[in-house]
Amino acid sequence: MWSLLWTRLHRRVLFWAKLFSVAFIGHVLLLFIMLFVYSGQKSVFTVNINRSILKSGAPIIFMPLKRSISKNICTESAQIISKKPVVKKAVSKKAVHKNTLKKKSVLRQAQDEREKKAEEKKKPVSQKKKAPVKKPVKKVAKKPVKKVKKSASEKKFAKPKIKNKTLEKKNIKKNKKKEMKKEVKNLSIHPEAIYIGQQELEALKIQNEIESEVAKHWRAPVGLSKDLACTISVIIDWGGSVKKVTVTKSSGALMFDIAARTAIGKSCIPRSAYGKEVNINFG
Amino acid sequence: MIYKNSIYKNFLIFVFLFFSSTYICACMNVSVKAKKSDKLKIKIILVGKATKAVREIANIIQKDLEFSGQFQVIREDSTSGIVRTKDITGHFDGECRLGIFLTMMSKNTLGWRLYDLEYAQMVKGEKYKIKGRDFHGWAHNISDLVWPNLTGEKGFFSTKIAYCKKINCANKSDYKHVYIADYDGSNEKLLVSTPTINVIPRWNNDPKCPLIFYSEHTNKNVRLMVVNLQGKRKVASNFDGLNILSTFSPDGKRFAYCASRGNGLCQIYYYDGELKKLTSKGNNICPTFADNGNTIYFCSDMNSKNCTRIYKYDLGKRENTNYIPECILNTGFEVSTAFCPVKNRLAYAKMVRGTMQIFVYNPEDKTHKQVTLGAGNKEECSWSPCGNYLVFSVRNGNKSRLAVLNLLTGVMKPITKPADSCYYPNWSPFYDSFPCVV
Repeated sequence: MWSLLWTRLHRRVLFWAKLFSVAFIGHVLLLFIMLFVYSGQKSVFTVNINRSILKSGAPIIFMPLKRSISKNICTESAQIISKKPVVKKAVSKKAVHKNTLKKKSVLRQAQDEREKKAEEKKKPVSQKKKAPVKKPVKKVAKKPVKKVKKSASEKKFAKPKIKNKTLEKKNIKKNKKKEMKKEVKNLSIHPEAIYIGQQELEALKIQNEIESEVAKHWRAPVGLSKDLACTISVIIDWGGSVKKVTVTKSSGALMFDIAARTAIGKSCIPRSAYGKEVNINFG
Repeated sequence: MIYKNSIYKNFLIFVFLFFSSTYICACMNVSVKAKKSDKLKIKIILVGKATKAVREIANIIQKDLEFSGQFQVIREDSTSGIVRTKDITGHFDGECRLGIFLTMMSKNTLGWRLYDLEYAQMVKGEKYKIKGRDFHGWAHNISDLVWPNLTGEKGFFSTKIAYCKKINCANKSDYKHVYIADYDGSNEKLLVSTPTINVIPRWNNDPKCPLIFYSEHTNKNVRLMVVNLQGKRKVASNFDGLNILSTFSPDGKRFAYCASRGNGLCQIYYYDGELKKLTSKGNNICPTFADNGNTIYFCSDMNSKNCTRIYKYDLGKRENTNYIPECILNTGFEVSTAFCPVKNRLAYAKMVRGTMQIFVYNPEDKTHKQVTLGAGNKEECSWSPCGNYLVFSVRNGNKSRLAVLNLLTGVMKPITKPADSCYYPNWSPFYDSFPCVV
């Protein structure tokens, strides 16, 4: 029955069926590998976020269409990140935070107002018949130098004495678009802004949860120097239990390291951290 | 051809799905700062049949750890010994992760092992060979061996405190005798019991030969005496008037003390093979070496009558006849200076609203910090060799008790009985052997 069905199927359908089955088997295999072989120990991807920079008060811009902006987003300066083409692209494709969209709308409103004003000014100029196009072009060309050149080149090609209203409109529209783009670019190249993608946001959420949970139980031993710090690596399995605790960087005082380990032992690990490796820095 | 093409496509799709799959494990860094601090729980476990001496040693180690205010000690027994990992992990209860196992290995050997109870990992372990008869000494020595592994600092439990105690005699004037006790006031032993007033005992700085210098009242003068722990006494300085307050440089080879030489004014004398007079004006007392023995801090009323101030004397400039010591504090009545070379701090007593309180001066940033509060005149302070504790006398009316202040926790503990009147405490430095009165 099945063999008959295979023969009767169209070649294209058969191809897609095979393709699907191969992909499905591949996924299942991958799942098995992840669950049984690695069992959450292997870290395939690393997200490092230095929270102290996030606490600095700089605006955080979340980019929902990006998985991650940079692996070490906060160790690099925000300026470097803003220089990256990825961010600019994302902005140009309107994949920016809601705030930026709001700002866009505000800009548009402002632009409309300017237009109205320009039109009001145009009316008397068109009546004079002598210099019809100059005024609006000049106004727009005040800020960017390139635009002035362009308008000059346009002048060369265009017939000088023709008063074409469509050309005016086109120029205005072009200038509008350019201004819009520049404004948006200025927003994106905010020197202090920190851009985060989905992974970073997720990681931040998990970090916050772990931090608040561990902080509840973390009590430094009495009488030790306040400068002491230790780093403990915790591997959490998919069941939520702590699989391995390793002191990666000792404080030099055993009682401090032990107290840190006790804090981990006492704390209830949040669901979001299951199957992850967490480096906790105790200070 | 179609077949090959389909395989290629399949492969491409598989690769795409592989990399777009969401089975991602993230490694995150979280930093947590402590808002509270707490005592750490530790277990002392006696292994095998524990004799009375081992139990006593365990008691003393427990007291040592608890005295620091940093540990909460839990006592347990283990009859099975330490053979399997279960014997160790069996003592792990979720909160207490450290355990000290004590075993009497032979007649003269005591074994101790510090274990991480959770993973049955030995942190440190040694065989301690028993010397002498004082089990207090054995226990304090073991505490000193364990302490650096726990805190990263040198232990101070084998050190001693020398002090004077007032002895009430019927139909006679009161005497003062010199005693030495453990750092916590226990194991008190009488060292000098001459029928006179013996005051201001001071330890020397020779790690091999512990000696105590003290001042003895005679009919003619107050002479400086030296006594070893066997009780043998000798006269160190016998000038007219006062011969008091000896202090030793960190290398133990130089010393300074105060003598009036019948002049009525107490001056500081410095000995480095030759005795030299450092001061000439006013009354100068309480010299203490600082900066690796290159500076002496002392109290003097050279520029103000009836009000002592703290001065700093640079020994490098002592050849200069016009050299005037630098006054580091002139706010009020300040006495009994004591310098800690480990922490580089100067402790002194200062009058605050009619009560003497202990202050600590930091020569690096030139700041003064009050470390004691409350009623009672706190005077005659002395540093522990680790620099984390201060011992001083607290006077309330006619009574005077000795108290130890833990600078890490800020807790002050009296170490002598309320009925006793004890004065002039002085904390010993580290000696090679446990100082015992024979």
